[in-house]
Amino acid sequence: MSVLSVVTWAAVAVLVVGSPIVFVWFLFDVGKILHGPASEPGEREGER
Amino acid sequence: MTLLDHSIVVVYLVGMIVLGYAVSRSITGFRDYFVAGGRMTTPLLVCTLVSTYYGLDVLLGGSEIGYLDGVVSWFWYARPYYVGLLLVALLLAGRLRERDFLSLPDVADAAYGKGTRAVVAVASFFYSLPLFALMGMGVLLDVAMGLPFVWGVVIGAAISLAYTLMGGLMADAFTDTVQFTLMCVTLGIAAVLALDGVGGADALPALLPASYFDPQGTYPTAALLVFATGALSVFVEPGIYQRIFAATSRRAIFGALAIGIVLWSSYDWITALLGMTAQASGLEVEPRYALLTLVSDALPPGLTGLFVAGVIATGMSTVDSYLLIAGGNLAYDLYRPLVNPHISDAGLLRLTRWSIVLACTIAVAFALFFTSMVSAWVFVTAVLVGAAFVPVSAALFASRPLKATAGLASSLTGLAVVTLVYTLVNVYGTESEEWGTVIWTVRFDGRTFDVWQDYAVLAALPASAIAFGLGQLLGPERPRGRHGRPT
Repeated sequence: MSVLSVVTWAAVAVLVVGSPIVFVWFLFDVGKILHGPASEPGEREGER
Repeated sequence: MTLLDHSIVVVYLVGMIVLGYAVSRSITGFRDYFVAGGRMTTPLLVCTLVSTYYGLDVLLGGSEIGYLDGVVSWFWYARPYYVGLLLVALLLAGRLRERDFLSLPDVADAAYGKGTRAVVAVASFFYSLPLFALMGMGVLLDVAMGLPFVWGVVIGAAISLAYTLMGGLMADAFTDTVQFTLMCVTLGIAAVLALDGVGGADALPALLPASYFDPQGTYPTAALLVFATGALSVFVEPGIYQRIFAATSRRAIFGALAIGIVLWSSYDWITALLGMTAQASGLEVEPRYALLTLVSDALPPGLTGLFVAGVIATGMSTVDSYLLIAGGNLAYDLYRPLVNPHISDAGLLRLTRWSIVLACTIAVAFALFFTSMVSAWVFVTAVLVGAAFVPVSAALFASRPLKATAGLASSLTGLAVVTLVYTLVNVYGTESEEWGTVIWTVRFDGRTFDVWQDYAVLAALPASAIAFGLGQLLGPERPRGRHGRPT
């Protein structure tokens, strides 16, 4: 199997497997996103 | 397309509106509407960043270069963007979140005042009009479903507009999650089936010229430099800025950009490779539509509908996000500070929604009026980089106080040089079929030079930097407020 083939299969795997994983991760976060506290300017300053 | 394929596309379009409506009930004010109340976590940011920043221009443009020239599109057009995005994650995101900014022009305003804010806001507005995505949807709905081009553009715009108006960035981002998954998965499956048709990736070197596998392809060095320079746009990209401001934390945006780079690089590679596969399989079509033709031939019923929905998703996720930004440029960045600084939060929210309708109307009109928007897209990117890159970078990283004159001179000069070069090249140059751009052949001192219209940004950036330096050197000091900060 050539480098071209390995890189291509890796890219396909990232798209076909990786993106649904991110989507499922997002589903676990929905409650926090919709009902969690908003980040206010003061909190942003606190990140420094 | 079969009845099943059509049904999948219709279910997808209706689903986007329902999802947008469901999310819209959580909107309580402008901040909620425009930056999702700063509640966006890493996975939501990954979905919305990847799907928004990659539209039909990348899908069709990347595969077009792959079809004509091979892997050069990945190495010289896409790869510099990953470096830029990594620098945004490492250097820019933290600095942007140190202040209470909501938009790119806010950054210019804080450093230089309202004049530079207005110039950057106008550049951002034109950059954000989603003309190419609307035209792409018109073509796609025409090719795939037999709808007239005008109806394709209007339907694509109307559906994106509907849920963006209702739920702002949150609705946009929630629909982006579906669109992101759909566009990535369908492209990956399409690649497997299409490559199988030519004997796999290993068979491509025997079917294509060696130059298709040369990272530099056949492009002149200056053109490759222009490709790479385009990556500077990530440092002033309004969509990326908006998501940095909408993130729950600096860590969330850093993680999202890091994961995004892996997804973007995979998407770009597959897009280029599908263009090359179309060439290898002997398809003789308009290069821009090589990918669509190849994939629609390779996929079975059902999957074709899913792929068409995925391509529509690629376009809609760009249209909705940039309509929101363009509307915000008019209402929040221009009207509020320049005309009515005391507008209420509810008034600003209402005005932003009307501005989005206006931006959408202008975008649809332009998309229907022009026959080719590729050059216009390159032009508006050059306008944004020329007007905003130098002053905004200085605003974020300069250690000494900046003068209002420096910001204004820099942004206006960048804007003027881009416009001047484009005008000169288009008046005196000719359309090159070989390179797909306008080239002006200049004769000087017995020698000839080819000036591409795309080179405008190479002239605009140093001019903008010189104007900035002169403004900083010669401009008056900004008056100081009560606490020593420039007013």
